[in-house]
Amino acid sequence: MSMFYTGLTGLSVARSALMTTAHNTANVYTAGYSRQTSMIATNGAIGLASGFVGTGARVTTVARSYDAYLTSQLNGAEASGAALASYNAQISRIDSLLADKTSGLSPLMQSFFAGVQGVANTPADPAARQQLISAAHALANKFRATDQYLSDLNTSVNEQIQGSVGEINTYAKQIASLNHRIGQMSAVAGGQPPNDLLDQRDQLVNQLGKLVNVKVLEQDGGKYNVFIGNGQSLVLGDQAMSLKAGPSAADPTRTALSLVGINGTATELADSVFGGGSIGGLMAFRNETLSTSQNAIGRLAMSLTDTFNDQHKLGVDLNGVLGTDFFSQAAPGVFTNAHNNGDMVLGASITDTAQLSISDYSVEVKDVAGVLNYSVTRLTDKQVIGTFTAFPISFDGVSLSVASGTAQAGDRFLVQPTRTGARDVDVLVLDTAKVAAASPLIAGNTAGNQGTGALGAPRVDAGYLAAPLTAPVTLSFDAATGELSGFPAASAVTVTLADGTSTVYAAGDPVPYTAGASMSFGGITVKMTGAPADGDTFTIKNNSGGVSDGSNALLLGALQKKAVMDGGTSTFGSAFAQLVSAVGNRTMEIRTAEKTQTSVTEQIRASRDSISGVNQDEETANLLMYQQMYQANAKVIQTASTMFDAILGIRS
Amino acid sequence: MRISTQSFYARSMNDIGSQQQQLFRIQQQLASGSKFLTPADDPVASARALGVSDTLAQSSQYATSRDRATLSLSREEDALKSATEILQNVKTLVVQAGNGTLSDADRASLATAMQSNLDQLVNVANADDGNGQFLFAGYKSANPPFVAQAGGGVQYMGDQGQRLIQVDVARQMSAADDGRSVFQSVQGSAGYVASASAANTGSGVFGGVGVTEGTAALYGKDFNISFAGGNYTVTTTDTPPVVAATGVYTSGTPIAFGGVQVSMSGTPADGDSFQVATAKNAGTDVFAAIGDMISALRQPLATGGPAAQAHLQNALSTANVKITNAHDNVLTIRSSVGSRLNEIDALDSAGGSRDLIDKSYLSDLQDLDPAAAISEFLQRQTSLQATQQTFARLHGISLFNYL
Repeated sequence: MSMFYTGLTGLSVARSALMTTAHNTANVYTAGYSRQTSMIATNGAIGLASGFVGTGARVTTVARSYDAYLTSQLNGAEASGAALASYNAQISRIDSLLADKTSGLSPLMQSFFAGVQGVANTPADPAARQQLISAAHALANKFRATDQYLSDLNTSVNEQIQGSVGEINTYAKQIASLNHRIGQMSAVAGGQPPNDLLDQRDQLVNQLGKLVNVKVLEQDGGKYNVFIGNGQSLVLGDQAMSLKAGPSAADPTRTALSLVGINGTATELADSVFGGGSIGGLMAFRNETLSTSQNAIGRLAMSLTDTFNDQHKLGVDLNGVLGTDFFSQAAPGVFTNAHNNGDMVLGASITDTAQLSISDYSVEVKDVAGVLNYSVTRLTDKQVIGTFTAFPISFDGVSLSVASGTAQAGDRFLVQPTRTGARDVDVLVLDTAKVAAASPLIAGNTAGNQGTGALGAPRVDAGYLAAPLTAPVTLSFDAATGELSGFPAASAVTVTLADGTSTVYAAGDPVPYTAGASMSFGGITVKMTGAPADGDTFTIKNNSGGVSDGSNALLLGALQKKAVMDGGTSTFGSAFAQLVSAVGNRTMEIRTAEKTQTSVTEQIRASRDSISGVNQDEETANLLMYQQMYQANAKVIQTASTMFDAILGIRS
Repeated sequence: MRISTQSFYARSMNDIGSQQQQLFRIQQQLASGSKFLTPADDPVASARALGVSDTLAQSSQYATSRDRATLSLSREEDALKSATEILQNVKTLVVQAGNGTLSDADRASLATAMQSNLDQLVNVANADDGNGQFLFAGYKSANPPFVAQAGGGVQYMGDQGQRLIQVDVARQMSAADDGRSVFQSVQGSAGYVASASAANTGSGVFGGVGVTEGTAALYGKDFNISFAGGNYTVTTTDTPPVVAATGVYTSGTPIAFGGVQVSMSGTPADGDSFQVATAKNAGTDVFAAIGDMISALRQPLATGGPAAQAHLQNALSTANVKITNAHDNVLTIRSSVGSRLNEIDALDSAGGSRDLIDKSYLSDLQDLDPAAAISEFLQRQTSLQATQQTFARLHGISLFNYL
């Protein structure tokens, strides 16, 4: 073999290596690019008697510096990062909504109750009444606006999911098409890897993973199979399936994703299967935070309006007429699953706002030995709270009944008791005169009474509304027996002593007098103190013309401090504070998790880049190295030429 | 380890970006003066701050209510002060009217003066709060509570509603008193009131009623003293009547019965009678008492002889006691108004110091310590500058510099 040829192989290797270095330098900022290296090997040697003489070098392949393990780790880390980032972006919006200290729900509830107190202070003043109505409007508006804000967030989540579907489908198609081209190119190049296409495909998998968590399995022949959710295939070799967004069968207000198979059938994927990617983050957000926040606001609105209405109805307005509902009240929502076979429609009503939770509930119909069982699951803690066989079904302050139709086994229903609680709040009392600030009854003693007996202000409860007083009740005291008589003939009287013991006296019976004991009859409770004298009489009658009576307004105002939520453990204010603290804590958790995830991702990326990344100085050094190699090999050819010339020169 | 050129730039930018973010955060904190910008910055403190500001808002409601109660009670106090003065005037006039040297005309002019006082008193009892709401009407504050009747006298049209105001967490205070308990009641401690029957024809005149034995069996009953044939008989007004005492009447000798004694003088005619009743039963209406006196003063004495003289004197004595009782009653209510006002002052100062504690707690929870924040700002600024400078240096180092 000639020295010329050996030099030539060196030149060609150097050129190839220089090309690779140039390619690396050109792609120093290309996303997903893996550094390439020309692999150099010796050519076969010629065996001579004096030994083997080498015949130069050749480039065996251009290799990609690539670590499959690190790449898949990076994909996973970036998918989690994307999920946390989208979760954080959404929850931060609720967090800032709740941060409002000047016009948030909390200050508006305070000014509403200040308005109630204002009416209690000057019940006859129309200005105070107007102020209460205005404050109530402001509060109702805030409830509705807060609800609207949260509904808009739901819509925005729906739109983002909808928008991502197109991208996912494009990526899936591109991966399938690259699978095809990689096979083709590799075959054409005699099995050499098409490095840049492989990088492109890995980059697509990475982009896809940022939207939705995927699993990749490399099949024989180097094709990628991509799986989504809990194992549904999105890409199989050269074939790509597609995703479709549409209203969920269980809850039409939400957009869910369905996988359209090769045969064209769409299968809805549950939110819970999406653990990563921005879609996973959005779905976790709407299930964990958005729905509970909206339910918490709704429950607060429902509790406040319900308890306020109940007390308002126990008072009388400026015209002496019993009060009406002050606020309008929302009804619970029930969704029939779109896949149900039966035609049963459920109706729901609230039985006790104190027992309401912030959860949604699912009702599942099961056939147990020929009997339809209705199993109710609380969705926040996935707890089955009961299995029922007959309606009405009551749980957590809600009662379900059949509006029409019959169910079939396998049917499902979604019950949202409080979701729309804040959406539908409005003020119904618009006339200042209709604010029921006064108590319906007034007590008094007769002018000539000798004793010091005094009848306190009568209180009424819901039982009074069934049979309001039509004629005054006059109680008279008999000193000889120590008894009071004159209670309405039809009512039994319950006497409750200061120590809590109570005794019931049959209707028509006289009642022994105990100072300080409260006496209840027909929904009315009065307390008498002092020492009445024989023959003293006391009256309880309708409060007519009592424009300066603010006693019902005082009771309405007292609701602010009363624990009427969470089974009687939370006030309105503390229930709201719970929501603020829950959302705040969750936001903080997500932020911390996102920070941690970012630094984990950074570390994995650094490891990957230390293998696959391009370092400009290194390439520059390679450039110099291969340039010198080129020059040296050229020198070899020059030397060979000189040698050849020398031989030719001998003859001349 | 190979540092890829791309990741060198990306990481440097990330570092600078996150440092800028932190600087911006402190800047926002300084601008808002608040430790946390959203609840996520400190969920526990945010929830607590909500609770504390709720407490503060309620406390300011109570303060507003106290102002309202103070206003209402001060107006009542003003009205009661006028009522006290009027009743004192009336008592002075009663004393003047007792002067035996007065002529019928003198008495008529006293009656006129007294009528003017009565009108003033009715006016005071119908005082309003400056906003058209009558002070002494109970709940029925839309209309004047005391209305003159066709046959004379004044009737109370209000009710006994107590206008309660929430002046503190657990204290509801009555911000007004109803007219009946102010002008038509007497205190439980008021004693017996004696009066003479209008039909008496003798010259019997009673003096003061004194209590000798508060534990006597019949003490507390109402009594009737009747005269016949120079003897007196004292019976209770019960049905059937119980005889409390009998005896021979001697002018100037007190008659004792049921734990009380009443001095009598003059000569009662047969069939004359006198009533000695508890203050509550004797008629507690101050307007009626003044009215009775006015009509007694308008009766001419010139033609009536000793019987008419006795009538006038007895009427004046009865009225004097009743007006004194009414005066005491008004004074008692005035002192109760005063003590309510004092209580409000005490609640105000207690509320003020509670607010101070709550406000300082709230400030601890949410207010930023500007000194600490500024020092942190400067620290982070230095750190950002260092990062930027080292980035610029590193960026400048390249193999090309040496080729």
